[in-house]
Amino acid sequence: MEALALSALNGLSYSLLLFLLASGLTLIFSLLGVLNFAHGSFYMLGAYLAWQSSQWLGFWGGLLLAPLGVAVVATGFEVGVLRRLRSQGHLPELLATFAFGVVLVEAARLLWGSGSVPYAIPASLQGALFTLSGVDFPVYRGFVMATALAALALAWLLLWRTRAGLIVQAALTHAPMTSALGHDVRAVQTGVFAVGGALAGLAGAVGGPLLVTEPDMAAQMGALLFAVIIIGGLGSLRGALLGALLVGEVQTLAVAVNGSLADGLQRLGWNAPAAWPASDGILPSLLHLDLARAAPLLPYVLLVGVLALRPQGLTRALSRDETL
Amino acid sequence: MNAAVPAPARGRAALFSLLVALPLALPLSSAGFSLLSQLASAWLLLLSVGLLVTRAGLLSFGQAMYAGLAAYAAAHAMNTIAACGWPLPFALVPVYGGMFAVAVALVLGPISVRRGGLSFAMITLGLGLLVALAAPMLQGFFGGEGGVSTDRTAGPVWLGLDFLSQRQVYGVSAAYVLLGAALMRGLDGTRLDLLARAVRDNPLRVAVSGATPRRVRLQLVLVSAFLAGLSGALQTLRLEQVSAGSLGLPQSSMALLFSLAAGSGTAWGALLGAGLMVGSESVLASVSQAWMLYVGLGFLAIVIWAPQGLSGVLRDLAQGLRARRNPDLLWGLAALLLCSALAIIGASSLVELLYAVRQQLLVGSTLRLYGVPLQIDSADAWVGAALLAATGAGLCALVWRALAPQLRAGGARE
Repeated sequence: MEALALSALNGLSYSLLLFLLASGLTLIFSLLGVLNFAHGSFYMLGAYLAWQSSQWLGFWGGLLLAPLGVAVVATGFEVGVLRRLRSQGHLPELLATFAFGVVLVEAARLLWGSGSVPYAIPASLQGALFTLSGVDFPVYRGFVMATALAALALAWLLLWRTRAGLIVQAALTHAPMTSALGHDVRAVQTGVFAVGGALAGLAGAVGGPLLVTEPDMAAQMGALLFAVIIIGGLGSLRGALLGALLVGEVQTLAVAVNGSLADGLQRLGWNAPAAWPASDGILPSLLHLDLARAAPLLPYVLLVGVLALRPQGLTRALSRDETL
Repeated sequence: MNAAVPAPARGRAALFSLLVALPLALPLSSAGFSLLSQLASAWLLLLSVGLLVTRAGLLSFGQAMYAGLAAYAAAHAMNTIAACGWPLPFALVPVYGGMFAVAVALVLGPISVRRGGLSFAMITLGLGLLVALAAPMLQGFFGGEGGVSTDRTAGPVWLGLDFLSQRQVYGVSAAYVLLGAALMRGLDGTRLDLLARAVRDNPLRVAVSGATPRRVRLQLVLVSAFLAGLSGALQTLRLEQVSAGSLGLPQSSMALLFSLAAGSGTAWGALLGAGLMVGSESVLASVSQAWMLYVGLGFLAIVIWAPQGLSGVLRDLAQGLRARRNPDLLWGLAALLLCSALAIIGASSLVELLYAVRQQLLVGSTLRLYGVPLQIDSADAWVGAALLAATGAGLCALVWRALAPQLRAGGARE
């Protein structure tokens, strides 16, 4: 039972990391109407910038510089490219973010190589925070949780407790009216894009040592993020949180489970026919597939399952046009 | 509808068929025919993606899934035919692949077509990722990590088709390209085509008029799955091997991007896109490590400066040149082309130099770029490349400033 609780806690830290990314993606989508395909690349860039600057300034310097660096890149992209394309509808914007994501990944490959870089947990954050029946909960996982919560709390305060946040909220729901009242909606959009990028950069800076820092992390995280926000419901922050929790927990718990579908069925009293060895045919290999190995698949199984039942995602109501 | 096809369109169709059949008469090498077959596969895939984009406004990020599943099915079909000695020619296997993809689309399509727009894109993305990630873990149909291999020469020989040469593979591919082109022509102006365009523009009105948008979308997805299935099966015929890599998101998204970059939906647009795709994936990739960077930058440039796609730009230019026989315009365009070539050579040299230094792939310190040996540790090479890039870009900006008013005036007049 303790092992399960520890796994759930691990999953929670992973979920918060996912939500750090998904919240930025959701905000950008709500305000700009464009799904940022470069978000996974921002995450990767954050990890690389943090690693590079940690060589000179130590881990904490990297942690501070990475979000700033990504925010600068995101601002440049928004002002230089996205703003020009806004008049032409969302498709060119979507494609531009996709292409920019590819360019960022390839630039990272160019500058830092195709392999992974040794971005490691600093000595001051190593060790166990506490021990549950012989299993450690690492300090760094706690640190990831704390960082994510702090960043999200800050973003929440900014959005709901300041005047600037009020304008952002107004721009979210009533863009033309906000603009008519004399607020620069374009600047708000740029700001939100930059903040979303900074959150992704921060996620990269804390996630890099936890996972692996390599160019491929962009594609993996990018795809996972889409699963997260679609499961929850596109454009809803609550949905993003729910999706992040579901995906993070399911993936982490699956890794902790030892066994396969066949084992589970056996426990329910149904034995897989002995004539079905693990190596032959789709169904037997699916039955005997270790759940731990299948963990990367589960978010997408969840995605397809949720969409088949609720095409609008878990939290959102279906608007009238969308029923068609 | 065919009776109403205007004469120029018929001429263009004849030209297209001629272009597809022409290489068969040429003395090309086996590698050349292999590249052409690859082009034919890519063309069908791009056509299937473009069909959804232009006619129904649906962005599919999972089209390679249909192609890849059909490729697996084709490999199994070929192995079964060879093992059982059935008198079925392998030239018909692509039809089976196409039908298989349609069957898959009948199962998976209804999930994805419930909503158009972004949801369709996301659901196809999710389904594609799910299948691509699961494939290497599953035995049987997918053959696990190793994939499935087959032998295209093991089938019965019909009409002298023994598939020993790549020329024959291209011949079969060309036949299916023509089938695909005919299918597109046949679709033009049909009830489904018109309904799909209406659903793209205003689903609510279509629903009120009594048609069901999701059924229209599903029908179009079935047609496009058939084309993608043809493409996948032809790929099996060419490579005699299928692995999970062919199902993945990179394939799907590249097909979508090249299709949009070239300006999809028509046979010629898909040809341009397929040419660019095969050119960068096979030719550019063999020359440069940084090819994906160039592809990404190229997409970005197209999205910013030519959002209607390359074929649209070419068409506008051709029309502009034909309408006003303005020699200045022609010279201006030539100058623009020259300057951008300079800028591209300079910038790509910089990138290649950087790659050579960072990746340390080089033995010694000489890098041959555009036929020029460069010392990567000398400042000359770097400064020269940077100067070339800067000069080219500067000249481009100057020429563009002089040219833009003329082009714009022409656009306004037309």
